[in-house]
Amino acid sequence: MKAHPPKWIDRVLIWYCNPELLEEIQGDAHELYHARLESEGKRIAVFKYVIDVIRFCRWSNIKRTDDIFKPKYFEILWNLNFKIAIRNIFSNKLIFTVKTVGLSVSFGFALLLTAFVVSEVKFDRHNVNHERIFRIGSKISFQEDVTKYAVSPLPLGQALIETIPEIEGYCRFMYEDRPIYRIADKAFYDEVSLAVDSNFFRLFSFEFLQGSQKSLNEPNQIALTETLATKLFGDKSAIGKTVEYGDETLLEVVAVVKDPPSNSHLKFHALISWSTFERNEAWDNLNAYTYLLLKAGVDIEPVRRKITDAASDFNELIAKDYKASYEPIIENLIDIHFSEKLDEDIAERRSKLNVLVIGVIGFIFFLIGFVNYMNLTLAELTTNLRKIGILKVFGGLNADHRKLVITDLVLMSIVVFPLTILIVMLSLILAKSHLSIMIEKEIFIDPLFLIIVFGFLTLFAFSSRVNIYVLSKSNNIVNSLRGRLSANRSGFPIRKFLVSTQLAFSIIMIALIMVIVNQIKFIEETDKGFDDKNTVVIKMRSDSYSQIELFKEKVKGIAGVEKVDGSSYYPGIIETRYLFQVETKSGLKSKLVPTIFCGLDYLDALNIKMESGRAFRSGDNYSQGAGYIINKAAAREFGWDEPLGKVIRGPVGANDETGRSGKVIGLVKDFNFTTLHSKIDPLIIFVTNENWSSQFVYLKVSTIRPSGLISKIETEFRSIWPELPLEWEYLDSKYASLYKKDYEIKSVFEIGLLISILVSGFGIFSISALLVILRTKEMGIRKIVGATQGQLFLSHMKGFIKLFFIASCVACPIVWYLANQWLSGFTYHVELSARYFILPAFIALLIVVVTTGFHGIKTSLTNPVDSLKQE
Amino acid sequence: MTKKGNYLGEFEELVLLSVASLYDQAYGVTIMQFIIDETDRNVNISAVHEVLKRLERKGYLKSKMGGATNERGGRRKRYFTLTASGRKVLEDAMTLKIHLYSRVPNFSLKLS
Repeated sequence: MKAHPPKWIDRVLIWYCNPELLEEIQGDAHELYHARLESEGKRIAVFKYVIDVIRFCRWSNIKRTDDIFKPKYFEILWNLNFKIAIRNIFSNKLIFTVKTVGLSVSFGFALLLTAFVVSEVKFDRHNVNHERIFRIGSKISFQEDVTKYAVSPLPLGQALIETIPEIEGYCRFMYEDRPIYRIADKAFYDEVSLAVDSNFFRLFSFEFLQGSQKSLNEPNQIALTETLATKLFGDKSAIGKTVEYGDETLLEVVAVVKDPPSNSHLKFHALISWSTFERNEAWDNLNAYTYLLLKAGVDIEPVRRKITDAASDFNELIAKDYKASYEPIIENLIDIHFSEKLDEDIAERRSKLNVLVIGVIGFIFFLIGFVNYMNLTLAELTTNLRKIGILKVFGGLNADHRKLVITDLVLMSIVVFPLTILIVMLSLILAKSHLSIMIEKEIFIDPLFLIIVFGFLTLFAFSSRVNIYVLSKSNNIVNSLRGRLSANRSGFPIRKFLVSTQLAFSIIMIALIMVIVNQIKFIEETDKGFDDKNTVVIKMRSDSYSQIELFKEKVKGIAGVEKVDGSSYYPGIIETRYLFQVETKSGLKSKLVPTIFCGLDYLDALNIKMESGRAFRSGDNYSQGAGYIINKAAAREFGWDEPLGKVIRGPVGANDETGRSGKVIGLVKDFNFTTLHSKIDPLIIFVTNENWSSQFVYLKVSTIRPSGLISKIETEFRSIWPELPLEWEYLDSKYASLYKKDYEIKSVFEIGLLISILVSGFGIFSISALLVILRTKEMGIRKIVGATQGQLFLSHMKGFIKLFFIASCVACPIVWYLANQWLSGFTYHVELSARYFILPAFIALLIVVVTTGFHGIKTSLTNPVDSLKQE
Repeated sequence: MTKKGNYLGEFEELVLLSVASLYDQAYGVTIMQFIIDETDRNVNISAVHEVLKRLERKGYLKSKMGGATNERGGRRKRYFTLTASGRKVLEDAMTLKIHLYSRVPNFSLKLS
């Protein structure tokens, strides 16, 4: 037996080599090895053997095919198709770029919107028990005022679980106002904190990084989210550490949970155990968010009635004390996001219609890109008809149009898919940083999302079927060789339909963005009734009236500060309503009225104009509630023609039981303190005192904002509250931020507009180019028999103008519906007029003329000699 | 003969000639050895295999497996023979070369 080459290298050869080829390759290699072993010695023989094995490692030896030596006709023709496709790309670089960019941009945009819609649909569904969790809110009817609150009386949960056997558990939590956390010397503010019952984690599903479901059983415990834990403790383990909360409450960290997903209505940074705080567990403490967990398999309908019955205690109580009535509002967890907004709610809302519209827009985007792709592909294939015909004549079965279409599709996918993914990832980053829209990564692997993506892909693949169908109409080799689809240009009806849809989309986009831009201009130009320029607002974290007064005095001395005064109101916070008794013909009547309490100079500082009567003046005895100022809406509400001198008592209840009363001393114009989304409510204004201290201090500063002003204010602020941070904002920018959602919609539509104009413009351009090729001869003949250049130009444009009219007719009603939908969200809005339809149509016409004009001119200048000699 | 893909590369031509010369003894190692001996070139066995495969796909060679052998651990050899079109392409190439050579004026060769 002769010596073997080393076994390990033999194994490498066996591993990669195609078994079909192994025998001869290994045989030859071994034979050489033995020859070298004798002539050159073992070391060199082994070395050369290794080199041989490495050099045998070629693709042709690795790939598994059953018949290596047979001629590959199929492969050759397939390669030919690829070659044709790639050559087409290089000869039509512009069209290829338009095709790929158009398709991936619209595909990417559609995917993003789909992800958004999926994330909305899945709102709160990540909770394992979402079907069995219900939130109990309160509907309080007081005279004709009905207010729906998201909160419930504190004892409600316990009362329900004791009386209703179908309920498995309940959980309450309260929103902690102005939380401050301290670790060593560092303080942290504005971390959303909830005080939760011990079974919070049993109801809602959270992923624990540390700790367990049993956390938060005892007082002085806190659970942190991952983000806050990192913020407080850095990389070190947070568990077991102590955090100081507010004044002298020490909390032990017992759990760290993953941040709640962006599509959860519960958003928080910290959870503190309920028993840490002493609560007024009375029925009239309407402050706890209460959630019930039903037993598995229980229907909610019969339980609904039982809950209403069980809450009758409370109903009786408030009927007696407040002459109001109570009714629970029972909402399923997953409905909270889509239902109407309740008072004191912490959940963000979005209407189902809104989600539907976004979904439809996403689909439209996909369609635009898809349609454009089909148009351009068809156009390209048509110009290739002659090539197909020749290939067919030479018997290339594989070269028929079907393979050609599919090759094109495969090639497109190779370019488009990575581009799409790139666009999606880029937009996600941009959306997060610029629009503060967060989409969780989990959404992209959600089955629903995958199904929709699969649907898109199927449609994309289906496009090849349509193209094949259209081409098969010209399957006649003679026709293909003559380079025409067929005598009646089959496929053009389809293409015309596609182009007019694109145009219609563009018109809709232009019209909608016009409506949005005009509405936003309307918002900016509408007289708010007060002056928000050059006004700094400082948030107070203290309730102490004297301290705030002191602060006001101190900042008044700073150079550049013109007027200073405090107020209870700040744009964007929940409107506070109080109960007042107002004079009517039939005596005093109770009313729940939005209220502002402010300093004497506040109205003057904001330049709020008096309609009649006078503003507050020092010297009046306001501590007894000597005077009230109301707005015109309040005068209308109370039915007063002559409001001055009318008597108001209140606010009743709440802080000072005795109530105060006084006369109306002034009437202010209606000024819009909230957004134009809501209508101006009646308003009662009275002066602050020890019981009613202002939470915001407004500073009117001089037009030239002096440098260092804020730091001077901060110094004063620190001298009174050394531990608190100064929080300030310019009033005008705060006011603008209330329209954040509207601005977001605007920017989304602007992007959409850009894409749709671009894509449809290129679409029309490509069809026009195709038409020129197909009609070369016709135009030549027309010219010979006497058509002028103008006539030829018009004859080229005519078809597209017709498409434009069809598109306009389709777009107008859609624009009307969508614009009305959006505008109905504003109480004060611009009116839809003819110009919102005419101008977009005109712009669309311009697109048509510009994109087809080039070819129109080209056609009109044809030299008939060139076009007719073509044989 | 001008269709692309039907040209014979220089090495392809060499291998084809070797197969023809070796007649019924043409397999990987012998072909390689033949080329090394006759041309003094450093040829690698894997390159020879590659060209043999390509020539067979083009239809210039055909092959069959030989019987079991004692050397090389009983592994069989793949023997190659020329096909009619292989012979044709070889003849064409030779004719072309001879024809072109005969067109070269005498003095031009002497000058160099």
